[in-house]
Amino acid sequence: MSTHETAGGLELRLRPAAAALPLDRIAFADVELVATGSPATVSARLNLVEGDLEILVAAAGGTPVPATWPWPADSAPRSVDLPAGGRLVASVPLLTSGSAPLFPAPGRYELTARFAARRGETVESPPVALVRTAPDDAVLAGLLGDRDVLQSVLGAGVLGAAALSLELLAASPDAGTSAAANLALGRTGALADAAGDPEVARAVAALLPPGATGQDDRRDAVVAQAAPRDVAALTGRPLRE
Amino acid sequence: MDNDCGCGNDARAAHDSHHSHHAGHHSAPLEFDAGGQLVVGPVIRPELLTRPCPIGTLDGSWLLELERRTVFGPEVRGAMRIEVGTSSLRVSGDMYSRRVFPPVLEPRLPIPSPFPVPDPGPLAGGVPGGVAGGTPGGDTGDTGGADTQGIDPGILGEIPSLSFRWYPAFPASEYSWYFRSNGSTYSGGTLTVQIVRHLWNRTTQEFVSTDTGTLTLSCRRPLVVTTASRFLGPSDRMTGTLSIGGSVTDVTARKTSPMYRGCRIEVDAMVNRVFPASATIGSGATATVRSVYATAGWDVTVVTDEINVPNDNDLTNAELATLMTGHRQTVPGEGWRLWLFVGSSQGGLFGIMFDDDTVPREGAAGFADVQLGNDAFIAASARGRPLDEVPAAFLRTLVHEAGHAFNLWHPKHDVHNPGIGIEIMNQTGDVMGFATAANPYPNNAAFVFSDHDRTSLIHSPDPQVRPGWKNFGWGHGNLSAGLPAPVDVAGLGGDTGDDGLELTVTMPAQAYVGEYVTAEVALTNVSDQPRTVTTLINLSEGDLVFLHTPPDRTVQHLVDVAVGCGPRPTVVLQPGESVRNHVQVFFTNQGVTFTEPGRHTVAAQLEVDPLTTVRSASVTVDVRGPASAAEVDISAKTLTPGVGRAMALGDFATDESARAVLTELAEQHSDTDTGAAGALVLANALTRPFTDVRAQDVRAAAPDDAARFLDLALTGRSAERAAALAVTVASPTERNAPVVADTIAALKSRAKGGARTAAGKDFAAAQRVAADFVEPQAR
Repeated sequence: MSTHETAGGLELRLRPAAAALPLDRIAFADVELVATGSPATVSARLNLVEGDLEILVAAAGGTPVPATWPWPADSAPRSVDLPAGGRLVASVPLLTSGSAPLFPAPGRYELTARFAARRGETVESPPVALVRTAPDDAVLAGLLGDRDVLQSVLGAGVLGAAALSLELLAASPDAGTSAAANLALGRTGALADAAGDPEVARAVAALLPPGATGQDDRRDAVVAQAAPRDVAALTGRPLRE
Repeated sequence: MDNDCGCGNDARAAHDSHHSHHAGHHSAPLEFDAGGQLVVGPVIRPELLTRPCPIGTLDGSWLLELERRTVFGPEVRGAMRIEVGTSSLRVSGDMYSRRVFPPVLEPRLPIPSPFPVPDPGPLAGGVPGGVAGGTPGGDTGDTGGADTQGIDPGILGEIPSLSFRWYPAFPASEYSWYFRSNGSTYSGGTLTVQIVRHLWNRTTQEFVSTDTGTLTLSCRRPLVVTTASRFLGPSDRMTGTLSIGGSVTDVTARKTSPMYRGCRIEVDAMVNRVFPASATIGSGATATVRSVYATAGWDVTVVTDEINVPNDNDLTNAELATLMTGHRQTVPGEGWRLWLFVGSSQGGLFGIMFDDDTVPREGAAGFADVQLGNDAFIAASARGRPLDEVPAAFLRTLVHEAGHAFNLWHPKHDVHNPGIGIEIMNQTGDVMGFATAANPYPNNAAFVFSDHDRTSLIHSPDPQVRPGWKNFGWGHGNLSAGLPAPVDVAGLGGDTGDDGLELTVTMPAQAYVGEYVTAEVALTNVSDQPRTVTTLINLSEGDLVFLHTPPDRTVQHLVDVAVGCGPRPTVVLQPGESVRNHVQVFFTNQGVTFTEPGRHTVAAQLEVDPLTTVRSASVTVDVRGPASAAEVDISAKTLTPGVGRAMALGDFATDESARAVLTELAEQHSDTDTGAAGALVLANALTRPFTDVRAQDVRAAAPDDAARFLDLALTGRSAERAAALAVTVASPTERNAPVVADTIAALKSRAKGGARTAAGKDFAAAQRVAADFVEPQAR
């Protein structure tokens, strides 16, 4: 995980779930904000929905594009107290910029996270690399370029005519991609059955970010079997180091 | 340059008609009798004489139509927006074209209708005659003659009546090009706009190339506005040419509204959730969705439809999309529309613009159940309360989400980096960041759009702004940074009109609604040569006009309620010398000036001589609601019908109820300038008899009462301020108004000490104020 410490004693860390990933799978990343020095009160909105977190994605030689949620949203500020050494952890989907695919072609991409941790203080992670490789399954890759599918995954519900495509994605051999599709299809049982897989917990935490989304049975089904770090990402509760 | 006082004096107009080169208008027409014989001598029809439109006439929405060269040529028409500010003018437009088969051999000419046509209602763009729907040659229905009974046609001649405001809208499939100003001039009634045209590719749905051209439009209005002249040459019409792409085309522009764009917002609400139809905001004013959008020149019609949408305590975007499909009304036509939903909750979100599908930005939602926090920077009455129990906060959220549907972004995410603040499109968290315990949220929120967003709402291309067209992110986001904003007309932006003369306006920076407000206007020769200038530094004689911009950003031209005509006296200003005068701004031809809390700006424009007009810088007046019990009482009195007019005329005439209110105002509040002004009006009126010619009645003078009121006005204030108030309540056309001379006489009798004492200097200053009222002196 790449880190960058600020003068305020905060570090932002960004780590893709996989260093290389075919384009027929949904990319996720872990983000952590660490109070490296003294205790700190920071924004709890460590997600892509509410606007405090920004992840810039740049292809080689290209202009950075922000990974964003398709829909602009507004919310009240929320804060969380981090003890010295404490961490606020989250997972994020690297799927779209607006409603367009974030990774249009195979290649090496550079990722940088920025987080408005406190009023007037933005923390930035050092850049990390993510390689998107050619898809193993061109059909699934094509589905992940469809607006309705992308919005259904990010909205955790079926939008437009995406149901059939989501069924196909639910059968993906990639646990994270499958979990994302099952989440959109509302299959709580399928998520509970695979809850022990960290990829599933990561996908649910990324697509049902705590605070920005309300109580949800699908999240609850995963929390019960998740590891401590994943529970923290699913609930928004900080980890004490 | 046309030189007319605008008083509608028939004799003056007739005189001018004999000097057509001077008048610069139409030649006087010849008239033939029933037998076809020329009637001896030209017939003077003053209603046919014209003069340049005031620049404020240009402000608003126009239907721009290009004349077809042949019947086989495409029909090209669209919306043009002209934004006239106190020191700026911007133009933009969106043009649509189509070919009409079979060709229309005889294009139907617009037929002015002398009768009211049906109100287009909330369906902005639903145009009478079907223009918005693209009906060839459709007539928009001239509003001339509509609802004119009992109303001065001179007022109606300026802008369409409220009932006839509409906004040209056409099918997206006919979109052809966008244009914006890139420097231009407005002189002598001719608007010349250098335009940049952005051509649209209907296949790729993107702007693909640009070229430049010149749009020239002439705006003139009748010298004398009569019902007949409104039909013959309405001032809400301009004609001219468009030179672009190697050809010159005749164009016609018809004003459709003093605002720029319109949209119908349908509001549906979930059961037991409350839509904030209005809310009291921090300034004390009442805000609505409509009023907030009006500050950006948008004419938003809010239609509250369903209020019992079945309950669902947690809404996903998929559910919101389904609700929009199921509950949104079917509305025909091309008018812009948006669905705004008052829902329950979606996690901790206040609101969301949830619609970014292939027909995007048609729906947004605010969430009533989410609770505000318990932080000290949140108003105590709002802490821990559901959003729909805090109307100002919820109203702000809904206006904000609707803004996303018009493709506006959070400033901190906007690619143009406009900077965060407290305006509408800032995220609530950022607005709360500016809140304090003393000025908590939502009181600290500004219910206006930032200049950046306002410009976008007014001038950005239709594909960017209109709901249902380009996806969210086109214009301010990751899809496109959009097109550049229009450039101000040259000669207005920051141009005072003459480098050798400086016009200044001094006004109080703050006032409350109902307070008597005056201004001091000064014209100074800042050149190294003597200058001959007008001495008519008042709002009554045509040379001076105030350009007032209230919070809704419309531009009003303020002159006195009584306007006189006469020769223009002049004075020679030596280098460094000034002429100055005091004027009242409380009540003008527009009624009470500062009725709306919020930020107002006022600039002065003075016709110094027939060839020179100078402008002042704008001054800002922050207007608030009356706060103390005394202010509330004063406001109630001064806003009483008849009182404002009496204060503007310096006499209550036969209005005994106004007299009674003025008496109470003077007796109870003479410690304030407003109360003193009321006392001075009474002193002026009661000094002399007043003859009611119609009633053949005479109001007797009451000199003892007059003296008593004058004493009330002078007590407790400086001689200079007392004189300033006296000259402002007197009508400038009545230079011998008794209140001025009586005030100076009374002040003189009270003056103690020599000329070098403070009192002596104060009295001398008062004498100068009075002298400048009678005849401004160069000093």
